[in-house]
Amino acid sequence: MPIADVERISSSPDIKVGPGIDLRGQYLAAARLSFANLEGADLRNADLTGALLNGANLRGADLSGACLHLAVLGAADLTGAKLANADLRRVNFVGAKLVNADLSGAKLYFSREAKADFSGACLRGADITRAIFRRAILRGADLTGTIGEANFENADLTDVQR
Amino acid sequence: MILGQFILKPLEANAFILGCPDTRKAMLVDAGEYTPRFDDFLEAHGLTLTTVFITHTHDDHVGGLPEVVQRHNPRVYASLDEVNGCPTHRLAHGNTIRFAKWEGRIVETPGHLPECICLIFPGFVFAGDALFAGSVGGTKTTEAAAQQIAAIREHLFTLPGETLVHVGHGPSTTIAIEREFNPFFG
Repeated sequence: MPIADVERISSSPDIKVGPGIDLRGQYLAAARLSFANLEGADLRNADLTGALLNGANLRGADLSGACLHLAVLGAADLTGAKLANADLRRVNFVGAKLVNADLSGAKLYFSREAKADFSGACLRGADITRAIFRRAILRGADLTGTIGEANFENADLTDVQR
Repeated sequence: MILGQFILKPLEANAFILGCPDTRKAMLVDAGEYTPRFDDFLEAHGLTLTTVFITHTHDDHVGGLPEVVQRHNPRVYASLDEVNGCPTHRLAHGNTIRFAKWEGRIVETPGHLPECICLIFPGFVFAGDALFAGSVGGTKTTEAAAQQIAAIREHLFTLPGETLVHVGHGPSTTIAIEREFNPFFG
């Protein structure tokens, strides 16, 4: 367990990744994966604490149970991704695309979702305490049983299930 | 480069320790509280804390400064002559800090507080409470809010898009993400 909440070492080697790669349970904390193509990747239970995934292609990736605490996923494409029960505390989802993503049971405490697109996403039972969905799109999203209070200022909540 | 991010108890403010792997010198950015984790991190990486940089003087960012100074006797930089009883080296817009092998540039981003400053290194910025992922620091007046937005546009949004922004609360971000998606900028 690192002493700091996130530890970034610039001398760490870059990780070679590609679509569909199997990284189940891997320790990838603070990995530099900005704009990487991880479409359909298997990242179940991976430790991606503080990882840089801004602009990454994670369409259809399986991140169920993964730890993404403090990860940067701004402008990433997570369309159809599975994030059930993932640790998404303090994640940066600003401008990210999470259309039809499964975030059921995920922990989104203190996460940032401004202008993200959650159309059709499932957040059933997710902890959204102090999450900020300012101007996010949640058309048709399932927010049934979510825990805690979030900020939905100017968000599109058309046809949301609560 | 070695960079540790610490979430502190006062209002979950971030503090950062930037370490140089060559000189083994370290800089602490903000000190909302003193935590033994700072010392553990320094020891784990063989670093000596020589410098502290303060982004602004709210207690959740400077509450632990006296204890840090007492324990490590670092040179403290801020935009005021004294912070929480600790004498500092005063910085103003355009000043530079030489730390280890890097040179950091100071920009003033008043708004959240009048004395807010950011420290820009090549490739990354410590922005304090001026800019957050998808948000900006709270301000007391519309004039202060406008001043803050203008300063961010002029001094931060002109940086390369891939520049990492390490903020005072919450996750880090990049200039490109904030330029395109931060709701406070249209």
